[in-house]
Amino acid sequence: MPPPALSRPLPPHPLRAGTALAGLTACLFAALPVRAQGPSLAVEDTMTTEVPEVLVRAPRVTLDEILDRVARGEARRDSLLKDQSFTATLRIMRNTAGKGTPELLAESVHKVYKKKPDLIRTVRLRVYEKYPEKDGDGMAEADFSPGMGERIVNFALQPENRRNYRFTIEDRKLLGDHLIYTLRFEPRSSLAVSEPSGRLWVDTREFVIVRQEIEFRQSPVPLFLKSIKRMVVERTRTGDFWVLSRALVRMELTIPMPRIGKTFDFGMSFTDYTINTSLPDSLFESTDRPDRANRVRVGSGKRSGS
Amino acid sequence: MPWRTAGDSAVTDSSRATARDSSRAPADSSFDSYMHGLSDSTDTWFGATATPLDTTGLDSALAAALALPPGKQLRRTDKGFPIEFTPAPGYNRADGAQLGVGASMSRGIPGRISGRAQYTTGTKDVIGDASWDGAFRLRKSRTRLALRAAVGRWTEVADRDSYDPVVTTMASLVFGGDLHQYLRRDGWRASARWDRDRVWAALAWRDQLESSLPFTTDWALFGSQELDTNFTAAYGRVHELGITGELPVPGTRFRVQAGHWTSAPKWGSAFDYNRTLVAAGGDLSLGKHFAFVPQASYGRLHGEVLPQNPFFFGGAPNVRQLDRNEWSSAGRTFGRADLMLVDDLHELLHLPLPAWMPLHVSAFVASGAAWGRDPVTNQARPTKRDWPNSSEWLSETGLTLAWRTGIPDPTSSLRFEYTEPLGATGRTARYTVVYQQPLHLLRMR
Repeated sequence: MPPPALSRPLPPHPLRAGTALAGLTACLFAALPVRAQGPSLAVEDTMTTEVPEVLVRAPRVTLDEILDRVARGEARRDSLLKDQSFTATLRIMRNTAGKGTPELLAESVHKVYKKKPDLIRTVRLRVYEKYPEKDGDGMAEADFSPGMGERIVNFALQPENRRNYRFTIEDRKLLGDHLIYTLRFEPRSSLAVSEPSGRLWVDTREFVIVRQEIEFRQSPVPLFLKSIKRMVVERTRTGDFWVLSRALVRMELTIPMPRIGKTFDFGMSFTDYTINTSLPDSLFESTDRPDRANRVRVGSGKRSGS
Repeated sequence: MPWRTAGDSAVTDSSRATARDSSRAPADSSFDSYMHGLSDSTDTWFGATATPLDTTGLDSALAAALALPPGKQLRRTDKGFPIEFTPAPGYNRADGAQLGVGASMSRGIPGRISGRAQYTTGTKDVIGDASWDGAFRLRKSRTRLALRAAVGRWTEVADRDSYDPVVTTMASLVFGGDLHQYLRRDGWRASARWDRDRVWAALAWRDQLESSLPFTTDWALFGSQELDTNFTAAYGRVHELGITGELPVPGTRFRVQAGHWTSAPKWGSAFDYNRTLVAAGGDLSLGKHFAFVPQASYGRLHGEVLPQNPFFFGGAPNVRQLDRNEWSSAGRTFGRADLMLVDDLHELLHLPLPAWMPLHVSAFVASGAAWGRDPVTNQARPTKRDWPNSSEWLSETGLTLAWRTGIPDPTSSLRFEYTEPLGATGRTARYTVVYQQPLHLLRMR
């Protein structure tokens, strides 16, 4: 029921009319350009409106509940994925900070097909290297695993890791009908100064992680790596699923390395997703593939290749 | 809005205009523009690294690659010779220099086959091994199984609890600071390791002929070898079963490791012993700047006490006031607690130090005892006691300045320590340099 006081007309009052006139005059004078008194000030004219208040009596969801639901949301997301394909781009840029112009050092593009339980086919589409090597893997050579769990996004919430991190709610945002929580995580151990900490953006509509920023208090390998300046992991929505769209990291070395320099970026982007399109098994006929632990790996599991 | 609290923030500028008229706009528009705003800021920050992919020619490349059967598109390394070779140099004061080559192959086979052959300049012998190892992830679980089998001739140290080949070799080469005792082992060994999350267990078997080695070197870059003899290992074929494992202590950041090695004549072994080692340690955070790191270990040898199976006492692995491996015993216990300032000193004190030299300070107190030991020779002998007498304890305290290098583990440091003995031991204060991690008693892998 609307408040009756607001709908009742106010009776005329002699003082109110005079005050209004004086106010109007003051406004007119204030609006006139007076060069000697400095710049004129704009008046905020944004239209405002009143809405009736709604008192919500439901208890606010706790942090533990959020973490549980995110872990379940991530597990549910993984369980619903049957197969997927995407185009993966790995890129290494040098001279990305300080003097000098950023320069592409290596880039590779692969088409990756995955199907549960452990099928994978990787098709190399393009490789560029500024300094190609005759033997050995290229700088941007990639090796993918059949897993679709995207541990790079949810590693802090994995059962074996969750107890090692302290989580806090840093922010909440109501955006349309999405409630976005920003959760901060950091290692519980103060000894773990070189382990990652950061922020997770969680969409509570599906309780999935939609973005992550990672930072390192101290370098994990200070002898060679001065700092990891910034690391961002983003997801994008494809159909009903949130999928890894890119991971970017900028690193600074203690001593300039030949061909690499002192600062470099490493970027992975994943585009052109198709999900649950019933990829045929014939696409994945198994092949003998060597174990390549030294390659960049995304996810985990058994591999076969193109 | 009554559901907004002090911790909540307003919608960002980029999405405010859309949010204002949410009755007409699609429900996701403010969310999408917020996410795009974050993504755009990432683009700006990373610049060229974040630019979209040039897709020219990718469709035709994909069509051509898919026209080939799976497995026909090879990498560069798939085309060459399938065996990779690496140099295999080494040095210790028994063998002298070890000059050799290693080879490995993993293409076309499950797991990896590797081998190594070295000529030793001191003993003028050929040592080496051939091994296979493989790791398998068990389906639909986070469990991993690693298998390994090896056959060969090895030069190994008697102290099986704490040996770092890289640091020992460097110390031996540079200033002759190698106080390990070496023996020869010929035969084979195999192991299976199961791990899941923070829990692991391993089962190992070895069938090896153990024999002694001479001392053959007297050279070091800056001086001569500190120890100019090598011990005489008991000769015999050992059949040994080893069980090791690690468990986390629930609700804490502490871990417990345990290992038991047994050898019995009924298995065809020349030796009869049971060797047990238990270690525990972890860290407690004291605010954001300090960490308290306690750790302890207990070891006990029952049965035959051989020169090559006792517990060694003294030096970097335990009490600093003794030389490395100065004593050996049938029983050993040791505990140490460090209070560490985790902040980098050069940032905290604004010291003009390079970034590759993060320094940390800590204070420690330690105490340990070795029993089942001849009081004259300080070498191990059998005992029935499972705990030391009060007179057998050695305690000490000290300060550490650590340069954290992060290799091979992020917590690995070169530690400069000042140690002051506690009690009337008659020993004096010592300066030592060691390369280790804070939880160095948890060494089983």
